[in-house]
Amino acid sequence: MKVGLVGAGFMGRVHLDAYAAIPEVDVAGVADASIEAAVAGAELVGTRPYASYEELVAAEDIEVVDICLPTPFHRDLALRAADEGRHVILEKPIARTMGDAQEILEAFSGDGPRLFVGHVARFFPEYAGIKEKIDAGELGMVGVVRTSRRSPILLGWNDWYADWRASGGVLVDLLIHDFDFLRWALGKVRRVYARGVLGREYNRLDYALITLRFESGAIAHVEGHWGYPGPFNYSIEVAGSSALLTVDSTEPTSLELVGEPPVSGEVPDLASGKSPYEKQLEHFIQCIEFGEEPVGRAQDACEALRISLAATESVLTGEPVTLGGWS
Amino acid sequence: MSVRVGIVSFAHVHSPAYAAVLKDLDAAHSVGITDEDATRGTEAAERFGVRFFDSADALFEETDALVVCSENSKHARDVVPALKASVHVLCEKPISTTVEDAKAMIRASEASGSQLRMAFPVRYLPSVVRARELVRGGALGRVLAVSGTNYGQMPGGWFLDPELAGGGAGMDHTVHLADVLRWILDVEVKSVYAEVDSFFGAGGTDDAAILTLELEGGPVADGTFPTIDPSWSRGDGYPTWGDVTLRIAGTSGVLDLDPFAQPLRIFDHETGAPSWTYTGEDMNALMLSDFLRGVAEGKPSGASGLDDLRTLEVVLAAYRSGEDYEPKNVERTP
Repeated sequence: MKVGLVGAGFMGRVHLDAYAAIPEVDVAGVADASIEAAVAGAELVGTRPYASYEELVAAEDIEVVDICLPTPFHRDLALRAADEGRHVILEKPIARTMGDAQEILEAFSGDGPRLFVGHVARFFPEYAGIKEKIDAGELGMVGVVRTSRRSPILLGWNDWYADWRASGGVLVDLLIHDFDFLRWALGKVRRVYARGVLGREYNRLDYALITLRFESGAIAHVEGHWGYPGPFNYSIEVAGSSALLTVDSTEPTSLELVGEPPVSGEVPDLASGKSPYEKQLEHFIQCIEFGEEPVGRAQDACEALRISLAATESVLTGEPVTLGGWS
Repeated sequence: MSVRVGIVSFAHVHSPAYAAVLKDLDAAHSVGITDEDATRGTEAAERFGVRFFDSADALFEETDALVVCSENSKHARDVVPALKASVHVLCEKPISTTVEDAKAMIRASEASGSQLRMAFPVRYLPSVVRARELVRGGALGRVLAVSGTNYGQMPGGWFLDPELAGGGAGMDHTVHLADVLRWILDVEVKSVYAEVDSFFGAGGTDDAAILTLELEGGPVADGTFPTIDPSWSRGDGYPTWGDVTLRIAGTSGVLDLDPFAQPLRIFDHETGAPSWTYTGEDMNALMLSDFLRGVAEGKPSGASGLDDLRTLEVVLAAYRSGEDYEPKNVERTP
């Protein structure tokens, strides 16, 4: 399958590394407005660099467009690719606004090209394991869930992560992982109450605490920190009526190397056979090939964004936000 | 000089620990125990080698200070006469189940000049004291948020009776964190949003909650938003009783405070169950020593009745919020 990747920044390079390990994928080209970034990205998989999407699709026969652009650029390129009949793999969040997200969803609603949104937490073995345990009833009725995700803030193109209007800050760009996972594991969210600094008051720092109430009755407390002055880490605790489950990424894993500077950014080293990104992208490619439904549908990505935006609204108004109109 | 001290009621689970500490402290002379449950009181008196008093008044006459460990709703009944009889009191938290009772206790202390102090031992743990110094010294810059937990196992018994306890986990555990937050940050709580429910077997009372607080004042805590998780979410399989933790996130750093994180981890071949044994300072000994020193010197320190009235008001606001899912102002009694 011929994939063209657009946006060879941090996440673009993570995807390229993953594609290099997937034999079914031929990365036919890498496009980036910065030709240096395109060249560096293309080298990772031994392919050709392009200075724009237009040049990429003019020169190569691209079946799947992998979009790793800053969030505000998702809509235009996704709609264009859909128009051209190309499948799209879109890095999360699906969009910055519900309007954009719904337009994207609409563009892929027919029988033609398909859309996949990269909510990679579903492919982390611990998170997949938690979901399995909950589904199997091993924790009993889930009562209180606590999650934490803390990361140094990334330095992206034009420092767009630090621009709250562009990235949506920690609520939209980082915690959408937890919102998507929690919705996957616990079902629909009824109510959102959040406090945070919205990445506006401070330079390159965002922090939020969110309470979610699910239709099931479960309560979740979500912590997010951008600009955390240590290495990226996450944790989750699920307290059920019959068992308590905890995961903490700061605890030793199967393979620990001491002596390197700590890895910063959002991608921890896991001692699994395949990286979560590799599993995710392989899954999407297989869904295209065999016409299967993905573990996380584009609609789910839309609903995760709805939670992020409800939390944002709650921070702005100081009031809880009740969600309705669920599909 | 040692202070003559007694214990009123062994209803609360903390009372045996207090009795054991008081027996050991040179500053204390353990006189006796009174308890409306005479069987429970007699057994405790025998266990700790002190006299059982079948009347509280008789105990008042022979003591300078009392530790009151009755059920939450009985605190005013037990504390007010003691204060009026010029006996100083250290009362188990929460101060009471109603603002009226708390005010009666505080007024009795003011009128008699007898000290009313509240059992908030967490304040005395060295890591908590150090955290307060660090935060107030500006080590974190401006404090953005605090995420606190006070977990435990469901205690059962009268703790599940709303009449006696005034609430479940929300009443039992929130006050510890609310007190430490007020003490570390030098703030009052302005409003509370809470999701409250029952999942862990407490039946008709709450055993799970998440509170989000809005604060007032404080030079390091302007705009700080703390959350509190008081849930009884630890079951029998958990290797220790629970925890008190605070994660304090500031503009220039993050402080993770987990004062009980000094465990010996024991894996028993017979039971097959792991257990953690705490090896840090005994917070009850530190608190009781300070109470006795305050009595001996006439200079009280530690948490006052008013401090705990402020935390009770936070809990009551949380329960109101839990009913209709709106943030509620904390009604601060003058």
